[in-house]
Amino acid sequence: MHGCARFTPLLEGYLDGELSAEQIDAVEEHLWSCPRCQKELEELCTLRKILREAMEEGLVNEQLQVAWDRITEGLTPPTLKERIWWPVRNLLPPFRPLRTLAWGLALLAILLFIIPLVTTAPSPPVEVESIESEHPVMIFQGEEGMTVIWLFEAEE
Amino acid sequence: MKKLAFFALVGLFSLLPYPLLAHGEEVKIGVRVVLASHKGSGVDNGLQDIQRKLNDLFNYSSYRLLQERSFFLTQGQVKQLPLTKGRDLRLKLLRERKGSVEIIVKILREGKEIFKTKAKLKKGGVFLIGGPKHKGGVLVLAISAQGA
Repeated sequence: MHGCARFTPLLEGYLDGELSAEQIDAVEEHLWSCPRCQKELEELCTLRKILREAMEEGLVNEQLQVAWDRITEGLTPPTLKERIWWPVRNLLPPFRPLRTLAWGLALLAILLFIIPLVTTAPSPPVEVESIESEHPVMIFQGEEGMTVIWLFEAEE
Repeated sequence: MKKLAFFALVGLFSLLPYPLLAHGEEVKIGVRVVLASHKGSGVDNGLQDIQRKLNDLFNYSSYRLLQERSFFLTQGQVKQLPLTKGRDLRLKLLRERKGSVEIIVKILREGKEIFKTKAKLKKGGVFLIGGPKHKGGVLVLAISAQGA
């Protein structure tokens, strides 16, 4: 959904319970309809869980190296593609295949049918495309646009 | 979701090609055969709707409606009507598309084609073919097309 840039910085505070009641409502309403922020929140939760478990184990054993090893095991470094794509992705609205398809079809309809209808010049009421005759023929139009084909036929 | 379905339906229906929608539609063709002459004066009641146009276009004093026919044609169909003794009118509907029709009009004399024209008419449009001599005057054919 739109407005991810506004809500992403609030997710940490949301998990930490540092937000006001209005902010919580706004974040939850946004999360309801935004898969991207839902995923972001899920990733934050996972990260916190890894950190917490690692720290707890390290503290129990009083070995910080153990804690650090557990953290690095839980975290997978982002690939080159992810490092390039993620910042760009955050700037774009979320991709919705069905909505995109619907907009695409509507745009196609406009391009194929509506624009030609609007731009086509009005044609005259009658267009004579061809005439073949044994006798001389004249075509003329009256003041009101009535087309007349006059056949100069010999006497009956 | 309703909005989405609406846009999708609009898109899909808009993609239906016009010729497909119009395929097989009947077109009502009207033919009025008028004798225009200087014998007498006046315009028959059946010609009231085009009386002003006839008077603007020609300078005959009398316009008599000899016959009036209307019939339906579908694409490719041909209709032949007797005009006067030895003269026939043959009409063929070539195509019906986007509010207009394309027709071929032929005039036959003793079975021989003496005149042929191909014209495109807007539905509701009328055009005239005049000139063939008949009983001291001339024949004027008013040909019209309307959607069924």
